[in-house]
Amino acid sequence: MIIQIKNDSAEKETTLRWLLNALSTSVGRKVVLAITGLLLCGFLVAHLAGNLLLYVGDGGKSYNEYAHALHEQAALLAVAEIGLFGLLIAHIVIALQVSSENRAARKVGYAVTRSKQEGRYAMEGYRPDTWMLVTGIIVLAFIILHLMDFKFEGRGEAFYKNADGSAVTPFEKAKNLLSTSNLITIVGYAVGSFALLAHLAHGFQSAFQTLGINHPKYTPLIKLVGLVFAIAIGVGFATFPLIWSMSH
Amino acid sequence: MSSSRGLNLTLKIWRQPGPNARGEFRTYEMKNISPDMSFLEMLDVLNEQLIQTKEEPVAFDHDCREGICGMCSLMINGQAHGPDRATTTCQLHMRRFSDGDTIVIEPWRASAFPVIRDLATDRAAFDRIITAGGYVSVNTGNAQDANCLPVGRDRQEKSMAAAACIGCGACVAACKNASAMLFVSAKVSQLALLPQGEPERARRVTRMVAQMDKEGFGGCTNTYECEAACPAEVSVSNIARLNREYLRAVVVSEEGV
Ligand code: HEM
Ligand code: SF4
Ligand code: FES
Repeated sequence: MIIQIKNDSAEKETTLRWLLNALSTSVGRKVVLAITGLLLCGFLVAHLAGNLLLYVGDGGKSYNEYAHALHEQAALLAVAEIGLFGLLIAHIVIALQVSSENRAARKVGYAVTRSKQEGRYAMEGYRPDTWMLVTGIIVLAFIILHLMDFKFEGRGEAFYKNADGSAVTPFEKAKNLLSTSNLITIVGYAVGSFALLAHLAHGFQSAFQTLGINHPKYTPLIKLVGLVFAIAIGVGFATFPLIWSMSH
Repeated sequence: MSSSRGLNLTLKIWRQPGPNARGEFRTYEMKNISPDMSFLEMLDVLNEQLIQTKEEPVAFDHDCREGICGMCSLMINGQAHGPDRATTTCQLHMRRFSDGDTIVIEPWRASAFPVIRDLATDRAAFDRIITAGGYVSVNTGNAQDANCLPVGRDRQEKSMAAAACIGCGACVAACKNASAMLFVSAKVSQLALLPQGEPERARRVTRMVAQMDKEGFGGCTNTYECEAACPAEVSVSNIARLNREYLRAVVVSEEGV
């Protein structure tokens, strides 16, 4: 019996070894990074669209209805959450792996370095493409804070309960958490959103190159769309701590 | 030439007696250097002086001195092959510098390119990548009449542009990750674009990528410093082609089972 189980797993290993091998090379790993990154971008669009309901001037009615409708799909939500968590973990694990290997590829550094791409970036030294790990880690901190705030409700009873002990509406919850007196959230969300902007400013178009898509007709367009997307997402999310919070 | 046009320069050069020895920067004053000299000729002058003062001359790689062999290297003030685009160090002229300049000269820095001595590095890792798959095994016979070959002009041009790579390693040196992707992509592309390269297409790319990883080069983060540093102006669109070739080999071919 035991022998049989061992045989089974050995069999499985050879069935997919070619894929695992391919995905563990430097090129294969970047492909996974790009695909997970782009799928996470898709999630960001849906998430921002939902949040924009906060701006409907109906005292939170649309937003509450949206939140309730979402939470009624318990099974779907569970699958989506596990899927997103998986994407994020895969993205982070590979990002850390790739970054540490890239560092090891130059153990002794230069005394002087100077880009030959002068003029391509407005601020040399603050190019988003050389700050991907840093902006990624800031985004991760933002995501953890955000889940603490909204999903795990770990910021203290006062944010989530009415005086009579009943749960507040989703709209009230957002209002409580994003109040100007809750500086950690306001500053954290603003910084996190702009870090996300920087991450996507390079990441979006970079993912296409990684997937082998570089074409004189489409690449300039992809770069433009990437920049517009990064600004729309980054500024879009930043408006909640910086603008929406002030008016509520 | 009149001495009034000569440049007085301060050189800060990485000196390292051997592969495992500790290195350090040493400073040399150069007087009255002709602006018409090439950068390597300037180093020749320095070495003449060092021999006279009984100091070890500076080891640096060079061969053709006309931009075709890929032997010369040098990180000059933080830029691979110096400040100009599409130029090798041997083609760089001293007129690019001003009187009184300090010039910092370092070897290529990459774990896969260990320093042999001073500014000379061991770039045999590139040769091993080529050996892994950068060739065609078929006997192509004598050159045919060019008009008989069924290769479109745009493909020829693209293949030729990739084949312009001289294997100098500036792409690795300039990349923040010491990645060899531009070099490997050039060597994969020049063959992948031609019918002669077709039969071994999948095997070539999988083996060359495997060897590239084994040598300890970094991965590509699409920062494109390589393209800017490349004296042969190899385009990063070749890197996208390498990614494409690799995906194709993994998904479609029977290679790597
Ligand atoms: C909503 C969350 C995120 C999105 C939408 C996102 C998106 C992306 C995209 C599209 C790429 C480009 C892939 C490529 O170059 O082929 C990328 C790369 C990267 N991401 Fe993220 N990312 C997110 C979160 C994170 C986090 C939390 C980290 C933290 C460690 C991180 C670290 C990185 C790194 C290091 C790279 C590689 C950069 C490079 O190759 O230059 N990302 N990301
Ligand atoms: S791609 Fe350019 S920089 Fe890299 S080895 Fe070839 S010629 Fe040198
Ligand atoms: S010495 Fe041959 S390319 Fe510079």
